[in-house]
Formats: sequence, structure tokens, C-alpha cells
Amino acid sequence: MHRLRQTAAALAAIVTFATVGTAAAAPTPGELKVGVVADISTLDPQLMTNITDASVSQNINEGLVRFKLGNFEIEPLLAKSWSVSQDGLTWTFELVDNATFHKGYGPLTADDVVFTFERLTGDALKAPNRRLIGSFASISATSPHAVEIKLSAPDPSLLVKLAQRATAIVSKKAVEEKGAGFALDPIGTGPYQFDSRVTGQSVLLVKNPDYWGTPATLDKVTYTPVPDSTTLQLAFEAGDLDMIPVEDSVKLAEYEANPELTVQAVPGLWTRFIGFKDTVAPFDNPKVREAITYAIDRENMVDNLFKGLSTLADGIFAPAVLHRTPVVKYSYDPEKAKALLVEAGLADGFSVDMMVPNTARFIDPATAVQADLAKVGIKINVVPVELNTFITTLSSEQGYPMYLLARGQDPTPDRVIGLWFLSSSIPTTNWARISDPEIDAWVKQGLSTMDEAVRADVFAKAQEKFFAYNGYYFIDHENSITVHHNWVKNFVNDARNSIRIDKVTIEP
Amino acid sequence: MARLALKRLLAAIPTLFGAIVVVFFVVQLIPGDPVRVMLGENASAAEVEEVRTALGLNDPLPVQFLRFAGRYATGDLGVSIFSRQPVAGEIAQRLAPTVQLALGGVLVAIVLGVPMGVLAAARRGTLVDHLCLGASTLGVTVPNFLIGILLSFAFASKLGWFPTLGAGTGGFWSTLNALVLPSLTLGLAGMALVARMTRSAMIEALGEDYVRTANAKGLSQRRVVYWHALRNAAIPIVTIVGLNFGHLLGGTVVVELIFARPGLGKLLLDALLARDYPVVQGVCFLIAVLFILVNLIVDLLQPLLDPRVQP
Amino acid sequence: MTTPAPLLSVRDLTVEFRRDRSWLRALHGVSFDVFEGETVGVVGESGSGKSVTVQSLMGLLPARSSRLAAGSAVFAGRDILRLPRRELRRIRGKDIAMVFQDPMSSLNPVFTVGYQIAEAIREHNPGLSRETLRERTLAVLSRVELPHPAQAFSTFPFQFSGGMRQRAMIAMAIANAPRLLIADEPTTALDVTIQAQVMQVLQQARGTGSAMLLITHDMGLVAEATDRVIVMYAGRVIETGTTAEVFAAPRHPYTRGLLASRPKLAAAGGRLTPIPGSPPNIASLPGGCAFHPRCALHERHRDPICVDTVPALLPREGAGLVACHLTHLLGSAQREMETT
Repeated sequence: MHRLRQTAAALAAIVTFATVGTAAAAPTPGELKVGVVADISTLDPQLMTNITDASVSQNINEGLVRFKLGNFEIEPLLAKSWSVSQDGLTWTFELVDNATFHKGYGPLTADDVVFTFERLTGDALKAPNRRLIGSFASISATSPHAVEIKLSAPDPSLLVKLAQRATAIVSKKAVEEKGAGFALDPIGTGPYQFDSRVTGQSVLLVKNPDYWGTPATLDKVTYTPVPDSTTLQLAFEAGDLDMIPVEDSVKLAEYEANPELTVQAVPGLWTRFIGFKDTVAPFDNPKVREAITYAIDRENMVDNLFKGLSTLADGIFAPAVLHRTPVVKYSYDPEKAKALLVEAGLADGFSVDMMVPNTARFIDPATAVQADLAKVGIKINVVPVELNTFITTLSSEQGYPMYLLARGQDPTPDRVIGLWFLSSSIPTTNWARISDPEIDAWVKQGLSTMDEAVRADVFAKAQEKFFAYNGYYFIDHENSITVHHNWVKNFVNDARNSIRIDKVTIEP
Repeated sequence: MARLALKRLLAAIPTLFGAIVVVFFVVQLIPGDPVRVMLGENASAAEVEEVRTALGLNDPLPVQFLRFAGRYATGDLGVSIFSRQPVAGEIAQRLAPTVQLALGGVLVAIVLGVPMGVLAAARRGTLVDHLCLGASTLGVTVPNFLIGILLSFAFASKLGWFPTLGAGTGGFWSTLNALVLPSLTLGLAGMALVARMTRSAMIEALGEDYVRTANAKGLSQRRVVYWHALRNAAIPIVTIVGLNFGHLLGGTVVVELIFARPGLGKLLLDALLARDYPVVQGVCFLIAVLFILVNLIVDLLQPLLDPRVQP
Repeated sequence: MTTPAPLLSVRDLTVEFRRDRSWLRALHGVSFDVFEGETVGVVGESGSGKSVTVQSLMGLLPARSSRLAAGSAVFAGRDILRLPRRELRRIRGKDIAMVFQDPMSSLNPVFTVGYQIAEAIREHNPGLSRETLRERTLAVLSRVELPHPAQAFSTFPFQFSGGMRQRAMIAMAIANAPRLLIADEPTTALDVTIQAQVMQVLQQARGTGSAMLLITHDMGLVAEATDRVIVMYAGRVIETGTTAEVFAAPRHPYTRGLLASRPKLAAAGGRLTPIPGSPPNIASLPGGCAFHPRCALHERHRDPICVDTVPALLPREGAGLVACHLTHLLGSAQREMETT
């Protein structure tokens, strides 16, 4: 009898205890719960390099300009207007006069802007992106609400750089006061302010009641890092999270078929490709590279393997990149591939190692490529390599003869085209080791003029010639995909998966 | 007793120093560049070099080591290359949840494993014995991430009894509630070991003459088994749990990942992949300290459990 | 004159052990009595079944590998071999207590001596206060003549010498004033010099209220300490009687052999006379009388009945019983043996 009572008491305790802390799965109006894959590392705009940091920070610290919602056109933000001198070396920005920093840190003035840029480019901070604006010379306040930026060479993509995190404006007073602590208690002018953070668990932003612009539409925004994709999906499906990224084709199909969920997929700013080191055999023979381009069935891969996770690549650069041209065209013709190999003197095919970073994102397409190439007698040995080691080796003199990777891009082509196309970028970022004086000239011209028509022209020529080398086989542009419950309204996804929450409301 | 503890702690200092040296140099041997990772595949060589130099990563290795050793001697664990936050702070924020999880795992392993082992030993050779052994073996054969996901799916997602992720919202009960499934996941593997150890230690104890004496005194079966026999079997069990602590710590990485708990394991893993050397060094150092502490505790427990052992 | 009822009456005790897939008989119909207050010695070589007998009385044989094939043991009116566990536990440590051979292994190493004794007292006297338990423990520790009982209370077994440990065991056994004290080779594991001391303590401390079953292979001890003696061989009782009679006139060749094999100080320089051969393996007992292959009588007379038939325990000259077909021939044979 005594034992029976003991057991009953224990069971009752368990049930009571277990229902404590059961998460409320119902959505709360005014509160958005975002699921992300990684935890924040820092919220200091000048120091951040990872995408979660950027997603959170954009609501707190604003730049002089920003992208329009859903695309990459520039619109004014803290700078209400601007002009550039004829020679492209002097930019003048007029600031809004009613912007204030959070938590009583005072109004935004030109001094804060000057402070931000000097901090970014100065030696003390050792900012990773200090050379973002490569030709930056100086900045000065010409009046309490105007600044002048002087460059040593024209920079046609300056405005895009001013929409990046590294140039988001911080409060001089707050930085001087908080020092290194600013990184975990940032002060900005944005519609949301930083509230609190539990390491590895959540970041909480709350509405800024004194925001100078259109008021924020939410009261609270929580970012919850969940590194494991299954756990992330479970939490989302249970309603504990309102929106999450999607990277799995099965889950994608499931979510798309669910009428209570909305999936938004946009071709992202990435291109996935196979690369060759054009200076070693057998890839030093153009016919071999050409043969490979006929031997791979891209459509099959994108339709059946990736099933909605990516869009077939029709250009070197993603569709959202300015001045990109659809130069990429392949046809799947294994017989032609074999014929080309015979011409190259490799009628019996050959074997080669193909290095890939060791995640499914690269191993899956690598396996498909391996199967395709086997049919024309090319034996690929897929070698997964840990990401960091991969990137370091690829960027070194040694490089990899054949590899599979993806390359992220910016809304303007300037930075990446220089790194990818120029012979001076061998071997660090010009992995195919393409050295072509014509391409060099076109690219350099495009980078140094402010005339968009000229830039469009020369960049198009460069892309076409670059493509013809077949130093890379371009596969697809991975999509930026977000899924959210239907009670989340007015969310617009973009090609960078930046999680812009302007105008988002919760209507349960 | 206190003198012994002090003596052992002092003796541990050379070990710690050795650990630091090893960690520093081994980490450097791994190919890969933290700045290259930080700046991405689109950074130029010049940019990367500039940041590397600014962070002191291009200094000769002995110089870097001296700087590093000097800092550690003053208790400064350095600054993370990525977050620029003090390593000590990054560790401190994650120490409590990891220790809670490790203790939870140990508790589960003992609370489930010991009774199973005792039962198996008391009913040795019968079906009950085989069932207990089999059930405990499941704990080692089924990979713990699978167990974790299954438990999470059944009890958190479907039944809603426990949170699917996180370490609780701060209150005592909330923290405990969030510890249940992760501790179970972590502890099930340890449970197998503890059950087996308990079983063999108990079989040996139950065959000893003093058990016969206890029976001859008219003591109840329960008292003989759980007090006289188990009390003796506890000695090897405690030792094995202590020795296995390292394994348990390693297991926290996967569990923290599945349940999205903050923790040292995840911190170390991420830092390793990113080549964030100061963080890797700091966490490894802390783990070495934890090891030494746990071994010390086990050693100090011995004379308490077994009066024949001289402290 | 009516004899009072025996305190313990064992009849036909038959115990088997499991070996591989079959059962081996270790005790064959053992029967004997113990009366209030007396000391009964049980002697025999190793393997004769002495320990098995007393352990089966206490229910201490391993449950899965042994079984009671037949027999009864009536103690104070109840058959203790058929009592439910709970009842048996009430008797163990209280009415019947045991002292084991090796006190080092028989005492729990992680508890103090005082704790283990107090535990025995508390088990059968629930509700006593801690002070009372301590007092009683100290009292019994004094009875076994342990110096500084208060100190001994908090000492661990490994800190004691062999003799002191055995005294502690004795203390534990007599703490509840048992009606029957079973001592299984209590001095065998001790130094010769300590043996006498411990025996003395045993005798004194148990008091006149307790009967004692003393298991031993030491005939000298039997002569000094026991009132009656039971001789066992190969799992059977082969002779019983008062110690005086059995020693003066043993009626079984084995008993004679045991007595003759004692080292005699008087015959200095003489050879020891062991019993030829060695104890039989219970798995393969000789047919008929188990002793016959080693028996001088049988060797001389070669009577087939010794090989065919197990001798029954029958009354002998004087009181007591003996199990031997040729016991009547013993008188002449003895004289013959003594002159050889």
C-alpha cells in the first residue's frame, strides 16, 4: 500500500513538473520569433562577418543608404540625399536631422558618421573589412548634418558598400563609453533596439519607441539559433518559431504543399560550380575542359536532385547582380564529350580527384557529377575536405586541379569580378589561373569608371570571354528560401536571405 | 584531507602547463586560416594578410607562444578572433549549462544504471539478467544523436512535455525541465557502462563471505544487497564513472547540437572549424582543469568509501 | 528417566548441489540432535559435509545451485528448513547465530565493528535508541574481552589482528543471546597461540544458555570443548556419542584413524600415522560404505557387504550410534593394529 502511494505521488510529480515550461505554440501579435542556424558572434557592425550578425544588426544600426525591400536598388536612409563630384573622387552626403540613438545616446550628427568610418579604416580596431572601400582616403564633417568622403580613385559601387554592415553608423558616445562591450550591447538609430541576449539561446530586440522614421511594426523580435536542422524544423512545425530557412528538398516539398505555410524562394547570390586548375594536366587542354561541359546533365541534377533548392545557372553571376549577362549555355551531349576526349588524346578517359567541402551542399552535386562523367570514361574520386582546410588550400599556390564550390556575390559585380577575373588575383581568388590581358583591361576599365553604360558593356565582354575559357563549369544558383507560418504577414524574402522585417506583422 | 587536496592541486600544475603547450602547438598544425574563413572566399590575398598581421598571426610561432603563455600566467585567456570578445567570458557564459548537462548525464547513468546492474546481479543468469544487460546495451549501440532526436520528437514535439530546444528561461524549474531530455540522451550511453560495472561488482560482492554473514545475522534481502553489498560495489563504480567523465564531456557536443543548448562542446567545435585559436586553447585548457578536478574528486572519494584506502 | 526434547533435531538431511547439468548429492540423510546448553562437536576431513550441514540449517546455501532433497530440522518445535524466508530471518542472528571461519572476509570491510554488531542487535530489537544500542554493543565487546571496547566500536575490521577480529565476530553472534550458537571452524584461520585464547573467549562469552555446534577438524579441540561428538565422512554421519566414550572407545575405523593420526607428544620421534588414501570425490563415491577403500578392517576381512551396502547408523556399545558393518570386529582389530 505504501509503495502504491509512493509510485502515485512520483507519477503526479512527473506530470506536473513536465508541463512546466511547455512552450506556448500559439503566435503572439507583435512578437516575431525567427529561427536561425548560427548564434551571433558580435553585434558590432564594423567587426561582424557572419550572416546572422548582419540579420540582427540591420534592425539596430542603420547605414547612410540601404537596399529597397526585396531587391538591390539603393534608397536613402540616414543620408537623405547625396552627390558625387565630376571626377568621382568626392562624395557629399546630407544626413537626416531627426535621427536619434537608442537609450538616450543623443541625436545622430556628422561626427558619428565620421567616427564610424575612421573607426572602420583605422589601425586600432583591426576590422576584418577595413578595406571594404578600397580607395577610401578621408572623411570629414562639413556641417552638423553633412559629411564629405574623399576617395583616391572612383568607386562605382560605393553606394552598395554603404548599404553593408561594415559602414553602418554607430554612436560615438556609446562606443567610447562601452569599449569592447559595445559588441554585445550595440547602440544605433534603427527601428529596433537591442534588449538582451542569452548566449547560445536567443537574442531579443524590442521596438524603438523614438524611431525617427516609419515606426516598427513589431514590439519584440527574437532570434533563436538552432544548429541542428531537424531540431530547427521540429521547433518551427510546433509553432515555437515563426520562420526558418529551408535547405532540404524533401522538407521544401512538404512545406510547399502545406496550405498553412508560405514558402518564399528567390535565386540567391551564389553560383555553384566545378572548377579546374588550368595550368595542370589534363585540364591545361581546353578540349578536355570543353568535353566535360558536354558530359554533365545539369538539368537532371537541378530538377531531380535539388528539386526547388536552386535555379539553373544561366550566368556566371547570379540574376540579381548588376551588369550580369546570361552567358552560360551548355548542352548535354555525352557522345560529343567522348569525341572531344579522343581529340585530346584521352580516348580511354582518365582519373582525377575532385575535392569538395565536406557538407551535403557540395557532396551531393559532386556525386551526381561523378556518375555523369563516369559515362564518358572520366573517373572522378570525390574527396571531401573540411571547409577551412579546403578554402586555405584552394587559395594557396598549390590549389586543387578539380573541385566543386559555390561563390557568394554582391549586388554589384565589382569586388567579385576583380577577384575572379583578374590575372593579378592568381592564385588566391582566380583559382582557374586564367590570365588574359583583354579580360584584365575590360575589368579594370569597368572598375574605374562611374559610367554605368560603359561598365555594362565592358563587363559583358569580360564575362563572355571568361566563360569561353571553360575554366569553370557553372551548375546553378542556390535559392534563398524561407518558410513561415501564415500568421506572419508582409514578409519579403531577398536574394541574400537577409531577413528584412520591415512591415512584418503577426496576425494569428 | 584538505592538505591532500592542496598537494594534488599543486602537483597538477605541471600537467596543466604541459596541456597548454600541447594545445597551442597542435592547433597550429591543423591546416587552415581563421582569417581566410572569416573574410570568406572572396577576400583578396592582401586583405587577408593585412588582417593576419594586425591580429599577430604572422608573428613567428615562438613569439606567439610566449605572448600566449604570458597571458595565461596572469589568468588572461585571450580574445576570440571572431567575436573579439574575451575568451574567458565566452567560456563563462557556457560553462554552467555544460556542467549542468554533464552532471545530468552522470545522474541519469547512475540512477538508471545502478539499479539495473543490481537487479541483473541479484537475478544472475535469469531472463531478468539478460533483459537488463540487453536494455543497457541499447544505450551504447544506438547512436546518441538518434536517441536525442527520437526523444525530442516524441516528448517535446508531439507531447509537448519538454522544450524542443534551449536551456530553459532562467528559473530553476525551467532549467531543470530543459535538462531532462538532453540528460537522458547523454546518460543512456553511460548507463550501459555503469550497469555492466555495477553488475560485475555486485556479483563479486554478493559472493563475498560478509554477505553470508549479513544473511546469517537475519538481515533482510534488501538490506544485504543494497547496503552491505552495494556499499562495497560502489568503490569500483565511482572509479569507472570518474574515468569516463572525459567520454561524457565529449558526448555533450552532439547533445548540445541536437537540443540547441549553449555549451562548451559546441563552442569548441565551432572554434575548431573556424580555427579560432584562442577559443580552442581556452576551452581545451578548461577541459584539462575539469579533468584534473574530477580525478581529484574521485581520488578523495576513495578513502571515504573504502576505509582500507589511506588518504 | 525421560530425556528432555532436543533443541535441534535433524533427520535425514539430504542436500544436493548442481554441477553442470546434473545434481550431486553432498549430504546423505544426516541425522543428529542437539540439546539445550550442550556443546556438540562435528568432525571430519575437508569435504565431509560439516559446513554444508550447518549452512543448510541456516539457509545459507546458494539458492540456485543447491537444493534440499529430503530431511527436516526441527528447532524449538518448527522445521526451519521449510520456514518462509521472513520467518527464517527472525531466527537467524537471534535464536541461531553463526561464527564463521575467516573473520577477515566474513566482516564487511567498509563498516566499523561496532556498527556491524549494533546492526545485529537492532535487527532483532527494533525501536532501541542509539544510546541503548551503543551500550549493548559495548557490553558485548567487553564480554569477548576486547580491550578498550569504546575504541573497538569505531574500528574497522582491517585494523584488527586476526584474534581480535574473531572476537568481534563472536561478539556479533552472541549479542542476541542465541539458543544455539554454530561455530564453523572458529579457530582454524588463527595462529596456534591465539586459538586457545579465542576458544576460551567463545566458551565463556556464550554463557550457559546457548548450546553450541562446534565444527572442526581438530580432535584436540573436540576433546577439550565438547560434550558430544558427531563424526562425518563423505556426507554421512558415521559415528556419534559422548566425547568421552568416542575418544576412549571409537567404534568406527575412521574415527579410530582420526584419533590415531593426532600428533602425540608422548611418542616423540615416532612416525605420524595418517589414514591411508584421501577423501573421496562426492561425484564418484565408492559403492557401499564410502570408507571401505581406506579401511584397514575391510582390507583384512574383505567382506562383500562393505562394498554392496551402505551401513546404517545403529546403536553401539554404550550410548551413541555407529555406521559400520564390521564394528563388532573392532575390538580384536584394534589390538592387532596397536601392536604393529
